[in-house]
Amino acid sequence: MLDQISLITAYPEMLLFGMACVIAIFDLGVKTPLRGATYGLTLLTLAVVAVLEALYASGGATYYGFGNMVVSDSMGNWLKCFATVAVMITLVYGRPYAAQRDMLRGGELFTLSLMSLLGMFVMISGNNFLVIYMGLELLTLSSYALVALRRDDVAATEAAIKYFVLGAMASGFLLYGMSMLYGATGSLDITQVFKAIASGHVQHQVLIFGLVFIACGLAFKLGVVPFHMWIPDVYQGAPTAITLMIGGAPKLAAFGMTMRLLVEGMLPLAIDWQQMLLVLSVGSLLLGNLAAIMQTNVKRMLAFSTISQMGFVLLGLMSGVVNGNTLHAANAYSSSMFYVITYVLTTLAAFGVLLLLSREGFESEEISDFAGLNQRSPLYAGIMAIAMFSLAGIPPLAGFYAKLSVLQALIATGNQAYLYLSVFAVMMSLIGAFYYLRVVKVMYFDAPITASNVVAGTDVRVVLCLNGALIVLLGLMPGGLMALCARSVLQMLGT
Amino acid sequence: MGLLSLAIWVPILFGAVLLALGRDDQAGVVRWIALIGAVVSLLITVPLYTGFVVDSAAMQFVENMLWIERFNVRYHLGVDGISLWLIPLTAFITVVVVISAWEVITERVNQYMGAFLILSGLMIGVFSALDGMLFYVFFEATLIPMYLIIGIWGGPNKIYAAFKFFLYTLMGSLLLLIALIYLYTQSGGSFDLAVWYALPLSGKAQAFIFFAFLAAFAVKVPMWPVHTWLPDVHVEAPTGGSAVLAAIMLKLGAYGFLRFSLPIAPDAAHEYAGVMITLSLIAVVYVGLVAMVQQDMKKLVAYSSVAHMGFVTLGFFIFSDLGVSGGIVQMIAHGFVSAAMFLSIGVLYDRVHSREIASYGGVVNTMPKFAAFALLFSMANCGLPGTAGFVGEWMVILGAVKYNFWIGFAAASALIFGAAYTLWMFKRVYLGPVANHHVKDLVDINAREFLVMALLAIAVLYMGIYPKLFTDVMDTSVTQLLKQIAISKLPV
Amino acid sequence: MVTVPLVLLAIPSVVIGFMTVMPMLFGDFLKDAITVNGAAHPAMAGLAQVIHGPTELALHAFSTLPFWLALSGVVVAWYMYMINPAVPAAFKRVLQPLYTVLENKYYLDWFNENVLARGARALGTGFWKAGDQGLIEGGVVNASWKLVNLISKGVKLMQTGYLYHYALVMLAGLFLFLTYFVWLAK
Repeated sequence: MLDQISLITAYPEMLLFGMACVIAIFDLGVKTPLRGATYGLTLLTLAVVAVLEALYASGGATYYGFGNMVVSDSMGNWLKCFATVAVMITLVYGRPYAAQRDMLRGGELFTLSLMSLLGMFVMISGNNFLVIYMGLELLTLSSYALVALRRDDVAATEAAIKYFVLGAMASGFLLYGMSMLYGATGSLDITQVFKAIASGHVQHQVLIFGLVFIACGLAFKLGVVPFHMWIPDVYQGAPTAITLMIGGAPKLAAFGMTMRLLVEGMLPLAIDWQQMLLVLSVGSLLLGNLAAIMQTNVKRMLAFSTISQMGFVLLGLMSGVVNGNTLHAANAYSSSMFYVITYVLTTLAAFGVLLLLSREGFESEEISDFAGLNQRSPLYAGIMAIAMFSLAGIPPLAGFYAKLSVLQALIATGNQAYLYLSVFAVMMSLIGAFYYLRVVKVMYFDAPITASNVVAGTDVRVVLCLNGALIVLLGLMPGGLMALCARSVLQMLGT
Repeated sequence: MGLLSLAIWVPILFGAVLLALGRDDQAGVVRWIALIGAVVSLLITVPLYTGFVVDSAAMQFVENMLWIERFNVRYHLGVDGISLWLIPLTAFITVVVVISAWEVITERVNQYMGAFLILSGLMIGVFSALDGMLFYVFFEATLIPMYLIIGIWGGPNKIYAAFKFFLYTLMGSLLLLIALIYLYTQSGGSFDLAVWYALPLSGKAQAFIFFAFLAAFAVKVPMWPVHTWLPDVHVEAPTGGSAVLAAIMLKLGAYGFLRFSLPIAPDAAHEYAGVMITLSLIAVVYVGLVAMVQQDMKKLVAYSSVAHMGFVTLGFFIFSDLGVSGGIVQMIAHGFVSAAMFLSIGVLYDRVHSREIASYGGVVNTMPKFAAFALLFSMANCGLPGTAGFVGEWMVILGAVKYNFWIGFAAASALIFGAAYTLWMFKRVYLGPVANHHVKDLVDINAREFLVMALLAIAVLYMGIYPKLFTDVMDTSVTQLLKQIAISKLPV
Repeated sequence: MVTVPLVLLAIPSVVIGFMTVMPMLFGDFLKDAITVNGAAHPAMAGLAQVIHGPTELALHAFSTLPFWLALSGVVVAWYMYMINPAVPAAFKRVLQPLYTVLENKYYLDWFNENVLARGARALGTGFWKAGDQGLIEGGVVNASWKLVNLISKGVKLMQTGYLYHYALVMLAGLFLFLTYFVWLAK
């Protein structure tokens, strides 16, 4: 079992796990309240892991390890690399916030973040139902603990309970669906399951039964209607740094898991799960955008906007298989991948600015707290405006190309109904543009309430500027990232 | 780097530099850098005109590079007779607006100037883009600076106006996006305009594309009945914003008709020409009547803009040389005249802080120099021969009469209404005895304002007296376009 | 003061006219500048056969009726307004309606001001208030965002905050999917 290949596929995970344990122990010796040493060590670990993943991903080969239980392919490795970078940036933005709210006692923030990242890694590169489930549980259990990190904050505890209970339910759905599929196909291995379904010897209804449960479990993780109700409450209740932790990188992991389960495992059933995704995405687009209009709390507004953005991602995922052939599949899935990546990038920037504003000793969660930011600090107002316009899908920012890719995948199917669906989708994003613009309006058009300058540490300022610049840069030159997504998805479909 | 790329990116670069130059205590430096940037951008567009070959209908100053490989989007720029004059117009109006804002804007000057320069570059990008997606990116990107300009430096109801502008225009543009992606799919994976011009499309597909394009361009022009955003936005926008909006941004929509709707969906254009002509005539007559009863000067000129743009779309959809050329000439003329009208109102507003006609009376007594300019511009707005306003309107009416006498008759009524509301406004504001102490205290225009007015007056008179300079370049391209849209693209 | 120059202008005018009228009308004076299409407009040819000299042209006027009518008009006017104003006063009394119509220039000015101008303004106001503000702004533009706001308020209420509601919705969703995909879409 533990042959050379397996070790290679698992190097990053082993490194991550090892360092997580080391950092947990190391932190016991750190005395400073800002936990600088732990922070530095964590970032170093993550940097090494990210580079490792990038090297693997550009290598372009697909390896199966641990007796086919783990797969290391280009798509997975890129997702893992981006997830690592996302966690790094989250820690950079979140540490000052956490330090001010006494969340850095004991350094659990770092250890749990590393563990949740490990869970994401396992989810993304699992080739076996149980491995994926294990990764999911590692991610979610770490997330529950992270949300509840501020033990004396009532809102956070409530959010953690809601997340835990509903998450347990969803994990239950997923596990039940997996067990159904195991019973029907006789194997936990995803490639074996694919072969069994494709052979046509398995009874269709049982497969669909299992598929529905799995889809519902996935829908919870992605955060789409009607499994979305945890998102506003958990996003709002959790400490802002943790909101970013559970709302940023895990989206990449959820996408990866969806690709492994639905596309790699159950592509022959695409006719069915595409319909499910259609219902999920229409509901998400509708509800996410409509509910966000009335929100006055930024985190809640961003939570509802997440629901609608994930609806868009699903639009891409459901356009892969048309009339039984997979010509458009690579096009469609890579569009969704590009969308998720740019979405996470934009979310990081938006929450980064939000975390900066919260630093001043009070929880700046209301939209009105942004008032007059342009006059207090044009730079951060500009970065937030870039993030908002990108989420709204206005060119020349990265978010526009994401929407373009998904819409193109939808229309390329040639299905007339999908053409109307694309019109519906853009009309919903028009509604969405309103609340993103409202944030810009508050920042630029309203008079400031406090006259204080926004203070930021050097590391936060540098990373935030790079973050904003990257969104604009991807808006001017999206070709590179798009090609990367296309190549990796093509490779994944090929095997 | 090609001339067109320079024309686009130099103002954007200057704008970006200005945005980085923080505080308001450096306002003087900021203003001079902005002026230099605007003038340099204008000078860059001069070789475009001098180097333009008049007899050729092909695209000139072409640049073509692969931009986004995944979707075969190319960075494809070029100008022909139709788009040539719009580019120097944009740069010229930007210079005028920068000068006009010199002492008026005192808060966040760098952001104001930066926004206008970036906007200028983006609009030149729209006029020179020959790739569908590139056009769309520039087209939509202009929304961001304009939204900020209205919302930060606007009037009392600026927030409503800014949102209305953004969301109304975005709605149409999103439908345009769908149509562009649809064409990409139908053409087998290309956003290039030349490919789309040659692409055969079924009647239903052409109708869908035509109406999707119509949604975007009709809101932009604006055509009746989606014109109601313009009066609200003009009233609330700062003077420079109104000038740029009326002079150039409205032309983005009209240009879109010529570059997209007509050549790509010619059969649908012919079929629905009646609808378009009706809407244009309604804009001319109905909106002309509405303009007569306005009490707010800016709203009056806004409605007058809708009526003038009605002429443009009317000219386009009668499908004749005179009509299309007249429409293009009217676009450019209206650019100069409407900018001049709004800047004149801005001069009065800067002093009295009121746009109501009732607040004024007998301005000519205290501001004779300014009143002289205002008279010239009002006459141009009416369409007086010898001024820019006449040429385009006359060509369109002539073309319309040849097409159908009654359409020409209705269009000609625009001249009557135009004279009615403009002259009436002029009389109430400028003529007669001094009405109140506001007017009595008025100071005549200073050297800077004189410069702005003079620049526009020269443009207006030149175009009115010697329009050949403008019409010569368009002839070949317009003939080619008309030939193109006369051929049916229905698949056999 | 104007009389002397007028007299001084009048005399040469007569002289020049006398000398040039024949060449100009029937000769070669304007031969390159103006051409008369003899076939379509035979009037000049006919005139050439009747008129043979400037004196004849001048004296011809005195034999025409319009000349004597115009002259009589001058005489009558001189009489009515310089000698005996009672006469026009009597006319006014007797022909009052006719007088009023002529005084008001056939009411055309009244028509322009009250029907055309006021009507245009009324039409303009009507189009503006009823059409632009009422129908387009009120009925479509403002109504659409108000509708969206209304729906949004309703949707917002769906997020009740109760954990068991959320769990119920998730179960309901699962159940609906199962019903449709496993059972109905066989």
